[in-house]
Amino acid sequence: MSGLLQAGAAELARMLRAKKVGAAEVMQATIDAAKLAHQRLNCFVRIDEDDALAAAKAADRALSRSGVAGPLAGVPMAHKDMYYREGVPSSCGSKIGPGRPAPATATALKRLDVAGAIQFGVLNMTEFAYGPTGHNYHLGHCRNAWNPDYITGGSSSGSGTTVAARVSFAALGSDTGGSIRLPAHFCGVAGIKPTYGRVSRAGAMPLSFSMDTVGPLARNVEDCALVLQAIAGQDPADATSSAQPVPDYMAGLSRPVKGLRIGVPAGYFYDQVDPGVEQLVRGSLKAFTDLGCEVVEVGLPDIEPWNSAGIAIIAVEAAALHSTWLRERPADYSDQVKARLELGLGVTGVQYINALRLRDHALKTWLANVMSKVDVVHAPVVSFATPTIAETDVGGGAKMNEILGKVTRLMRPVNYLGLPSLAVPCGFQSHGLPCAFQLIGRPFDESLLFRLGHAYQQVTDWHRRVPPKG
Amino acid sequence: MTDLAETYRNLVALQGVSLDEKRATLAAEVLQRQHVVEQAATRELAFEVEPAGFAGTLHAGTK
Repeated sequence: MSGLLQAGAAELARMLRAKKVGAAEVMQATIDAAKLAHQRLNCFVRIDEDDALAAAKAADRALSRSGVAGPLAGVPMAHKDMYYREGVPSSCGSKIGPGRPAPATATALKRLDVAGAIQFGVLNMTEFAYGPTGHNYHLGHCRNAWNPDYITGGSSSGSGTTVAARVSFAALGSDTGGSIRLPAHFCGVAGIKPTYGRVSRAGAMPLSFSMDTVGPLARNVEDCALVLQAIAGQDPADATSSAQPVPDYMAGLSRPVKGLRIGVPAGYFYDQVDPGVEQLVRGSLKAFTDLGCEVVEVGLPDIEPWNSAGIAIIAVEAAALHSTWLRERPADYSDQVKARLELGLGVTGVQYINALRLRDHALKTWLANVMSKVDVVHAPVVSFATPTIAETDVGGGAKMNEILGKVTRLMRPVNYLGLPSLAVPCGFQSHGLPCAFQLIGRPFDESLLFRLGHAYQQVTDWHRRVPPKG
Repeated sequence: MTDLAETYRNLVALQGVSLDEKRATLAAEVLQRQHVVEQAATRELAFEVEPAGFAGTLHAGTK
């Protein structure tokens, strides 16, 4: 049975439809594996064994009636504990939480339900999704499936490590400043941060209205495409969700990539990069060249102010959301999250509005100067060797801004521009921890990112490597 | 504590949150650095630019 848990979500869905395996059988194996993984990785907040097994038996019945099952029918998934399900409280990785059972189910969860996926639990995450390392001072730090001494990345820490550990077949994360792509890089899985507005945020815990995006982490690019297909599209419950049509991502996966132009940034993304990481990320370009893509260097505008402006926007919006609890329950925050929220109280209104005003100019500059020359930009996710949990345990102290800023430096500009970005594993660092590159595309062009990422995974096998069981 | 840190601490206190001296000093330094970067970046923005333009550019930016 453990062999079945090695399949990807799309592969498992095909096996279930072909009745090569039963959903209840897969779910039981998943739950057994989840319990074991949790002991080692501290990755779950809750496992809903009884409900999940009942749903899996119902899926088996649906699958036995030809044509009535959704594209993810019977596929077990656990999600970051910030996607609300009606009547159930979510921890949001915190001691406070929203403080009440959820009034409605998140749109992303409803759409996965319709597609037939079965949620079997909720996952550890950074407190209020406000931190990039995977530390959690309330629930305990989440641990990397490749080596539990190392960080998972955050804030979708449990999503990254359970997908890597071959427990969850895919998991929802959220990306406001790198929280999908960072765990994808650190844990060696694929993750898509969609265009701002591509996926409804309704029923997802907010951190920053202007920056929050919802997307999946999965074992491979095809699985990311399958899950995004299920959750993308306009939603009346989220005024910022886009009316742009959702293309058929799965149909586009196998289209040729020959002749596509891949831009390698001349500055910023490689300014402070560790030689080992640079070798892996630049090394991945050879596969694209072999596939017939044209790899070209592309100059970048001055991105540093966009990073700074992005930090200001998130800080203010998060501080506004948390202002009552900051006054009334300050002791219930970890020192790090409290320190970051306090920063937002000191950003002036003028600074915040100017950060938002600059955003349109920044995007126009990027589209005109970068995306007019290439189809996608290929870049590192993180510029340094994966650190241990202890090395990055900086709390809210003097080193906090330096360390966290370093982790998110290559992420924030993409969030600020609202662009889609796909993280794809591309090898292992000298200490055995995974490494990924990111492909940054034009707005709403997730389809091209999937096409390129999938083509890369057809000629490499990094995504098939499995962490040790410990 | 610097004047800037004191100002920041008072601003935060006005919002009902109390900070110790060390925390206020650290935060004020970070905020000042961000402010300088952002002021330089927004100096050349056209007078009429408003935040809502971003959504339009995002949608127009698709191929």
